[in-house]
Amino acid sequence: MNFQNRQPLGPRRDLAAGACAFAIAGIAINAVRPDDSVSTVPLLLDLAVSLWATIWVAVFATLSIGSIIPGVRRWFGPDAQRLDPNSPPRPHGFRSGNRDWGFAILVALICVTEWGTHGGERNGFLASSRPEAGMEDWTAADGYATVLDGHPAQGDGLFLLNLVGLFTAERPSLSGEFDRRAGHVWLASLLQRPLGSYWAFALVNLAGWYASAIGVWWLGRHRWPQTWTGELASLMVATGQGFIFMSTAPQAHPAAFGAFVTGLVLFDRMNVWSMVQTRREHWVAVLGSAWMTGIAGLLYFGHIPLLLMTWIFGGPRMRVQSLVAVSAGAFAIVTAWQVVGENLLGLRFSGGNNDLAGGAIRIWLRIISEGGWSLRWQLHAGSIRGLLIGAFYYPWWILAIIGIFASPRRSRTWALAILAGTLLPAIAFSPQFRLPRAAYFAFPAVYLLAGASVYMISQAIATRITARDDRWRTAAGLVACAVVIAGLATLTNLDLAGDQTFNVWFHEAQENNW
Amino acid sequence: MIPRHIGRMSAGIAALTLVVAIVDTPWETAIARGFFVVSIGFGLIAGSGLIGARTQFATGFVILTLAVAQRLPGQPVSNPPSPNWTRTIADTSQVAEHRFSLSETAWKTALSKSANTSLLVCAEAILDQLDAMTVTIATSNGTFARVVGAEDAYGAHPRPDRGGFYRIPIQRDLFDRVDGATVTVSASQTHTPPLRLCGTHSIRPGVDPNASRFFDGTEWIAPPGPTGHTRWLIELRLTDQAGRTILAWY
Repeated sequence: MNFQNRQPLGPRRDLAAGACAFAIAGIAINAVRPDDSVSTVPLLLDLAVSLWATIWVAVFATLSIGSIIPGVRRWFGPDAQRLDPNSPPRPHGFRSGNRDWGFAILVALICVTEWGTHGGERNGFLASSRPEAGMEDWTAADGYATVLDGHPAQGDGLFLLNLVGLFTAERPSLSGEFDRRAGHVWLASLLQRPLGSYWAFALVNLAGWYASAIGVWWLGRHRWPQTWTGELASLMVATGQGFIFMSTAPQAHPAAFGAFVTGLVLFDRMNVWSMVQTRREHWVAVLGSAWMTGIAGLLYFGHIPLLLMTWIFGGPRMRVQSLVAVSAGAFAIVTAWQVVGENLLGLRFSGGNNDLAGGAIRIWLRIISEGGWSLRWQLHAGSIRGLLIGAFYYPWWILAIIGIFASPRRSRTWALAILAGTLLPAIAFSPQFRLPRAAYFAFPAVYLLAGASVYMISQAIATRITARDDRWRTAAGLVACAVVIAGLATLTNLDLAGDQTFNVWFHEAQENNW
Repeated sequence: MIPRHIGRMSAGIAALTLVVAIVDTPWETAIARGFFVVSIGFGLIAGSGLIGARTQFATGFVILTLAVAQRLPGQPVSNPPSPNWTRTIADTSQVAEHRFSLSETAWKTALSKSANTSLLVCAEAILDQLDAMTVTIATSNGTFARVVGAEDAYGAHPRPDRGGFYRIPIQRDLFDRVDGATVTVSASQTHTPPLRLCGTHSIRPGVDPNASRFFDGTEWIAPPGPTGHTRWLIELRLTDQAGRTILAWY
């Protein structure tokens, strides 16, 4: 682990946000009139964690984005990173050695195995909607299902077929609930003719899954160089709860997760954070970032976490006009599809899932107008802790928190920006629906921080148990890492043994239970 | 730096992809395809240039191949069997029937662990005692009949405009050592308004494709929907002591 570039704490946004969160959460718990949300110790702790996490995310994002204002930026001491002297080494591709190819093939095999073993009726999204999962009381024995080309599939697939038919020239343009996600359907439609609907959607998911795993590997190498962080995080993606849950479901999430990671890779590869570029390099980076962010928005709402992350990480270190240009470009692409869809194709971009974000905003406005007790009650009723644990169970969060301390500052700051940028939309949406699959956009940060932590622990164990040469230490470290990864993968694969607990939590959060 | 000739070839492939996607297609399809070929397809080709010229060329080639494949004859977009259809039962001469196979290990294992058994029947509209259905379940151990009304509504959905479940507790003894059960549903009074019984698709492997049928007053016919993939939404539920469903069976 490279500890060389750790810096003295000094005034830091993450710590300042943490202190604010402690103070405000303390006031909210003690000064607001008591209700059922503080009636038992588990409920009190649940509320405390929910309050702290929500306030930390909000304050950290505000302080970071606010740093585009010079006065605010100065609160946090000399932010030398504005000129990015600590930027990671210049972008590099994968080393072309056999070991890298071997690892890429290993990751592919794991992804395909997980995808295959969690497909069809075993798909977590589908299985967790069956009556036996205890989550829904309105579904039939098969759960919220449809039948695509003879294969059981998650029920939303039914509503995507009109768009697929539009792209394959079989159906006229008909508006549906998923008009905004048409980019995902277009990708699937490219495979419709040779493979049929079920396998077309399933293969797009697999492509997004593998792209995410490889992208996270690259990010790990780039931001945690000379460690196994990237490899470990990549294996966590390959066995990740969110991807296993989606597996073959006709849903846009895996493609959007892939686009999100690809965006992060592109930002680093094009060095969009740096201000020490030529003018041409800089604008190529800005335009490329805007394009990638817009694409994420055509697949799902991936442009929102990407833009938030860009502003949070870029606020203290990018020019305002660059941030505005990335945002404007991204929204231009997303809006262009809406303009084309509405005016030329007669799509409505309203109804069903299209309206949920607006509904969440209206609920927040009502909550805020009702005062502190209403805000506190919302965070109890819509437990943010339960949301976060539904997305990543305790072992991943514990490892990630250790990883925060085990990571160099530049990587930690970057990872925390991803955390805040991805969790903010999931929390904002929580009054409408608590969706761990929205919070799962945080997986690059959570898995990379957890990977850094596992690497540090493995090295400590290896050093302790063997004083022999480097080869033995490496072997012992590898064994330690393999044990941890296998343990984590066992948890995410419990559904294969008939236990749908993690799928149910991933479907609709853990609520107030611990 | 991308070698110029490969860069030009990639640009050419991108342009060719757009042409392949939009020529000789209905205008709506051409617009939709054109938008995404330009926004996502061209973007992928351009972005892959960051990895290398050959990767860019390969990416362009793959996207072109997929655009060509999209135009070839192949599997059509077929509509799945409806997950949510209804059939009106207009008078007492009409009967919906579903036969359960109870010989499978999954059923027997779950039955041995269960504390309660019940039958769920889905009907559209809120029922009351004057607008009710009669449900009969028969096994080799005996027959149980019940008039079902509003008090049996179960779950979140029963509404005048939407199908919802009605739950009928059944004595467990009825299922001891039996290999099958037959459920019939009919309107209980001749003067009741028509009753709309729900149906859905049948997915589980091994279920008799003719397990559900309908007596229309003169003859037995298959319920609506494609043969072999359709059934009445009539299910047996086994629950444990805590009331958790351990098996939903049809």
